[in-house]
Amino acid sequence: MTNHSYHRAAHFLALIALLVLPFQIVAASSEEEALREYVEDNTLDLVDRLGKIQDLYSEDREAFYEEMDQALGEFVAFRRVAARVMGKYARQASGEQRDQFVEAFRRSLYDAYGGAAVSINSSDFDLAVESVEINPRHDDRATVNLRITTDTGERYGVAYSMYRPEEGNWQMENVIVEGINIGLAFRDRFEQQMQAQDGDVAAVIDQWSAEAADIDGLEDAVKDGEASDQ
Amino acid sequence: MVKERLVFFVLGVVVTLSLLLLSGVFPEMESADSGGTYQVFAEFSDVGTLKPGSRVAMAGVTIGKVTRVELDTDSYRARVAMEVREDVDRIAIDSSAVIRTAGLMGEHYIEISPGGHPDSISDNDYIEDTQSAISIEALILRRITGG
Repeated sequence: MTNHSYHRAAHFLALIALLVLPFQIVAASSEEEALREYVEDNTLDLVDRLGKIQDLYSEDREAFYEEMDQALGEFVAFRRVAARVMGKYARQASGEQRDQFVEAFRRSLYDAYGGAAVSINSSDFDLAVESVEINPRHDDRATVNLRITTDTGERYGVAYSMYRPEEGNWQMENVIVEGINIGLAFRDRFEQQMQAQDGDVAAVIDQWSAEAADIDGLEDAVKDGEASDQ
Repeated sequence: MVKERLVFFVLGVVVTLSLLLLSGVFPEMESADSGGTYQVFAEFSDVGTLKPGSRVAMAGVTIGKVTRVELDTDSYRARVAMEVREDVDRIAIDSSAVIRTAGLMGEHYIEISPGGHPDSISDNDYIEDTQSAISIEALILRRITGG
């Protein structure tokens, strides 16, 4: 190949790169924009739904949790969240024990959300998605940064860690509130319980399940939610 | 006279060995002590006082050290490179890197909280899930300013 040919080939490659690059940037930014809308819609829908079902928490706990399951069931990757919480102990648990923990964890989360729902009014705060970043190393993972501003002017940063399964929509797999990794906080709690139970993973899962089952109406609501999913 | 010469000789040997060690002429001595290592990265929004040489631990046991702390000028997050002992080769890919403080006001170090995924981290992989250093000053400031 002559020098002239090399130059022509180099120019051709440069031209291709220039033509392709903007499309890649547009593709990435449109993906981020779609994720931003998806998270914004889901979060606002959840806040709206929680506002509407506030009274149910005291009047009909079962109906309240059914609503929660409808609002969060698709958006939260409960199986991945639970595996993250179990950490290294997920490897020593059987498939059945892991399933049991996923359910127990889901119930305890609903309880936490339920408690928040009765104490907060959706008009008390403003919520906005500040930025979305698709992980440059894994395009099936992303971080969505939200800003919550209360009516008294306090501002809180919340980051959702998102995961996109091979089929289906993005799902939330962790939350970081004001720099505190909530998934890790739950993992620490699981670890402490493992130490208290002398490393008996079955006992810890049973304990977690028993605590969740104590919540009125939650067990039936989750079962009904599962039945309607199938 | 002989005693004086012996003292100078010993001093000379010590100084020469120190200089050779400092200049890295005996790198094999270090590797013989530490064994092989592999490199792992993690990104944090705040690394606190973490610096090259800070320890990397798992369950409180030192398994490596921080080799580099730099700013990613795209994300404006801190990218930390770590050297982890080669025999610690089953760190699950869903493990977390947490910046903890040794004692109440001690140095920062990285604690790896192991995950449960069957796949393990390899050389030059990133630990994606992290917990940055929690600054007491920032918490107090936030309380004072209300934002």
